[in-house]
Amino acid sequence: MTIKKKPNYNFIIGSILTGLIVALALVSLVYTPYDPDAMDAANKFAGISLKHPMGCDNFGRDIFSRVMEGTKNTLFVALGTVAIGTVFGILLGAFTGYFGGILDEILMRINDAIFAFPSILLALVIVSLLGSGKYNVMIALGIAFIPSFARIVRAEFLKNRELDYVKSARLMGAGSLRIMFVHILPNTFSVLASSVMIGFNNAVLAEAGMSFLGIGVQPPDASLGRMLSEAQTYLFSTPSYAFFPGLVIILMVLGFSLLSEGISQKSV
Amino acid sequence: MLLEVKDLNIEFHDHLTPETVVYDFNLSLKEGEIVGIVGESGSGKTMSALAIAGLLNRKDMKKSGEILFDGKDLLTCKRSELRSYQGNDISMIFQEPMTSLNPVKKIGAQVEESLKIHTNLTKEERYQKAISILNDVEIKDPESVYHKYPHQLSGGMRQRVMIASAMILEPKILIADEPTTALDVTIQAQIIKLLKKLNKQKKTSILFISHDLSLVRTLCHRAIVMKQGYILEEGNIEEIFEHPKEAYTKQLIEAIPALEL
Amino acid sequence: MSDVILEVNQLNTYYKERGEKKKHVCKNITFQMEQGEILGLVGESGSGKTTLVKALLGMVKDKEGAIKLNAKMPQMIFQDPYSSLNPSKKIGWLLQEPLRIKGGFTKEEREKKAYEMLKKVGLNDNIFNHYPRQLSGGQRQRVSIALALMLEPELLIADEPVSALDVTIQAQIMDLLLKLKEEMGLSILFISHDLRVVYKMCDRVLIMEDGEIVEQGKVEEVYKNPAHPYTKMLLEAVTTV
Repeated sequence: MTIKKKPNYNFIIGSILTGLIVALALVSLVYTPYDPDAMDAANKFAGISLKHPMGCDNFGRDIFSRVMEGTKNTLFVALGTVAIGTVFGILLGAFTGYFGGILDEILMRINDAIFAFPSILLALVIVSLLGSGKYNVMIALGIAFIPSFARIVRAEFLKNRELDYVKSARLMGAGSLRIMFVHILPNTFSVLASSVMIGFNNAVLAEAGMSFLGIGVQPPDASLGRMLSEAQTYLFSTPSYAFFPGLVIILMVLGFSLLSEGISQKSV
Repeated sequence: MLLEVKDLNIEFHDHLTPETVVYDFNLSLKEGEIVGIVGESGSGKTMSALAIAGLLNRKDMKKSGEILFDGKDLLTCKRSELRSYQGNDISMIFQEPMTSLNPVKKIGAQVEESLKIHTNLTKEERYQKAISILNDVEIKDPESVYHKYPHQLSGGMRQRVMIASAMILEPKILIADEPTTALDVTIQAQIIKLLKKLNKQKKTSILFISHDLSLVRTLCHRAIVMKQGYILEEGNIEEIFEHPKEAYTKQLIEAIPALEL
Repeated sequence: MSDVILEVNQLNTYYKERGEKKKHVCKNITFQMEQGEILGLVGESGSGKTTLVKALLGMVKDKEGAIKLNAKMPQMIFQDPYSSLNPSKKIGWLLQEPLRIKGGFTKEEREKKAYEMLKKVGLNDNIFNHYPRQLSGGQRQRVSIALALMLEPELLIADEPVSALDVTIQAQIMDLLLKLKEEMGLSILFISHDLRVVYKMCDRVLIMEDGEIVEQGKVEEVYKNPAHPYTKMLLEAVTTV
């Protein structure tokens, strides 16, 4: 008997792309070729060269350095968003799904109401209350992401709480919190993992979108969406200004989608 | 000989490694005969039955051997020919009466389904036939059951409906895959009686797949004992129960708790 | 007469689904269970036996009548060995969990007890690091039994513990339960729809229909001289089949 195994291209390409992007962000923590905020009037709209591999922008800032910086910020906001959404989503979903009853009804109707708004619109409202900036965008998007995670976790808890292993845990004397977070929660991970990955992609795009609209990461901080927004004026004169941040966003989302697809294939 | 299976091998191909689930399966079924296939989980009994019913995917399963029905090989015949046998001459009922009926369709429509596919009867004729077959499977008040949905019926009633829809074209062979396993004991006994009655009245041959030897003993004329894809033993019911040749058959018989009254 | 471990007196339970009329599930249930006996509970689906068990375990809110339990927390084994073990935990972890919750054991003590219990139910040590999905149905049911016995309960409720298993495995699990009963002095409330299994396992039997206990008594006597028509019907179903 021979084991025929098709190479998991999704996983390979996905991890290479994601690895590259994450490496870019990590390196930017300690080193960028130039100070991403340093202006240099002599290099305004400088073309692609060895000194500036992606050229320079309207202030003469090195685009490559700013893309690195922007990748870091975008990733940071996206991770924060997903973290907030997941943690609160798990809490909300676990309690409503496990206990049910009137609390569940109320929280889930609120959840539905929030869910009815496009998440970016909701985030816009929250940002207008909190003010803009990196952390506020994270909180705003995070809140907007809670309902979708809460739903998934709730559905899993609803399903699991009826299973005999939960009854058996209760007969052992386990308390509700222990049953919820030690016994049931690990069984939701496989479903949760795929939605976290999709959520991460949405967060990247949402952050880019909000920064593009000027309410996300504030200047002079770089963000990929912010750079796109600044570049639109110079789209024809200096296309590289818009091209590279856009390319990184595409690669980031593509890489992550492929990776999550690859992981789910692997676990089958 | 109505049905003859010769050296059937079934190999799965949807996993990483091809896996043979049935080895050299041989079976002959005469008209009006009830043959039991006995085995535990993983014995290949259901796979063999599905192959005979023509319900195994042609692509994922490599099958060798012959399944001769009225002299025609079901494994190699055209797809359209196979379709004309299915439901018409060979039909099947399953273990789970909860999932084998379509929950959003009325009982009447489901019982008539094969009439629609295989005959040109009018609506009125179909209705008459459906009512009469529902009567045959001893459903009380068939006119009202006709207009009900599956969830309005009990498990036993649903299994009767399943049998009705399998029997409506008076097939030559009925394959019953653990048809009573999910049912309560009293209902189980009723269904077994019903199968016996249908076999007598309509001369339908039955291939009865079960893990329950006591059921096989009361219902079947002959039995085949399977384990891990192989046929271990085959013979008349009395012979198998009184003088089992294989140790495994003995083990199976001894596993039934005795009831001395 | 030995000690009574469980006494149920005039138990009635009710169940209400949203928008429906209140249903009377268990009706005037009265029975006693003695220390060290295996009491069979026979009924078909909808007979209320599952509700009765839930009530015994304190999982039914709307009830009246008295349940007197002269034992520590009863433990339970379930019908479906696939849903009764947490799929995300290793067997070793699961077996230690009751002790972890109870508290007062070191890790070494817990592991030692878990290994001892595996041996008692006839399983190999290497199962300790397996996940439930790596085990067969029979092995899983053995693990469920081990899990239920970790706290050394006096009363074990077995809800159709063999009906999802292959016949040869069924026989093994029944023998195991009988052996453990002797060794550990268990009392077992044995729920089953299979009268043959009950005949092999039980000392006395309760026959339930529509929420009522229609007949109870020693297994041989009930089987030989069934008094209630429903019991007769059940026995007929097994003997004709």
